[in-house]
Amino acid sequence: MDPRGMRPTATAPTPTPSPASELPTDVLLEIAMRAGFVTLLRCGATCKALRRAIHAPYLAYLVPRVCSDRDGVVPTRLLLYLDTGTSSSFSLAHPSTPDAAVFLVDDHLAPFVSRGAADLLAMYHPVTSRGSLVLLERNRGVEEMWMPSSARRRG
Amino acid sequence: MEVDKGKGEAEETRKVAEADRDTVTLKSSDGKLFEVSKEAAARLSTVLAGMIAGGSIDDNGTDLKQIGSEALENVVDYCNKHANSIPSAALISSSISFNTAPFKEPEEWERKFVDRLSHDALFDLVEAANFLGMERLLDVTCHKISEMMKGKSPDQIREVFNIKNDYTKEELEEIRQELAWAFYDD
Repeated sequence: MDPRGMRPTATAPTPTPSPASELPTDVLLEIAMRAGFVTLLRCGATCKALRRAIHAPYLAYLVPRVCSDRDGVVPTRLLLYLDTGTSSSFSLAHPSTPDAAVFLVDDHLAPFVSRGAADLLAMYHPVTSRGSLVLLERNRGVEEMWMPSSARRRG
Repeated sequence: MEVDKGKGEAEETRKVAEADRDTVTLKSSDGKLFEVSKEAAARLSTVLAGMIAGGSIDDNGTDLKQIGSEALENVVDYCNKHANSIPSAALISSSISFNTAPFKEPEEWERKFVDRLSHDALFDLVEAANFLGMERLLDVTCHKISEMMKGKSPDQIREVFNIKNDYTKEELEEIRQELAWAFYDD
């Protein structure tokens, strides 16, 4: 006789048959960080805990990491990220692409990269913000960029 | 050799012998014992390194109640394979802290190591690596699992990773609008 067959079903919550065990949020975050920027953001739409983790202030550290990953998928519309960890300066998300070159040279923005961000921000207006991210739209209205809003955390 | 040793002396000798051992014994949640090179364990796992340094390694099997035997076997297997492969300085000094360094690419043998694992075994292993503070193994397993996540919709991610949706319909719609570009970008 199968002893498991004797077990009353109502007493203990029986684990529902699942495709996989539930991973802790920090592990899911580690995985998501390696799946590229877009997938990382999509993960935030799966549950609240992941969204909190992804939009936490230390996303400021994740974005540079995703951007510098060879496999990291950074959307082409992500132009810059603000490095709040050390210097509060902008870094290019795609340092070696033609877009980046145009952005730097044609738009005379090179002086602002790796420097304070106040002047550069004047060229953009915020579209929406949530958690630690602000979506900015360039006043001409083509490119977009994401940056962590450091102000809230530092204040 | 001295036969009539005092008890204290014998104890002393045993302790020295333990300290000199070059392996540690780990015990899984279901009571199975595994031996692993002390050097590799200390190098690859911050938690085991701490236990070894702190003297909390039990010679009869250090209890790792959070890790099942299958996952622990894979952990030990990984440590042994790692000890046999030529470690590069970059791997040893790799840090999990949120630095700006790119993720390290798995080496060929590491890729094969995780490729042969079943879905469940891989998920158990990533949890074990996380619990033991094994940065490199966490890196390798997360890299592998991230392939299951890439390009998937939130619904598909929930299904694969057994994540419970705790959003209301309205909240989801709000997120969808906010992240519209991320949903249609590819």
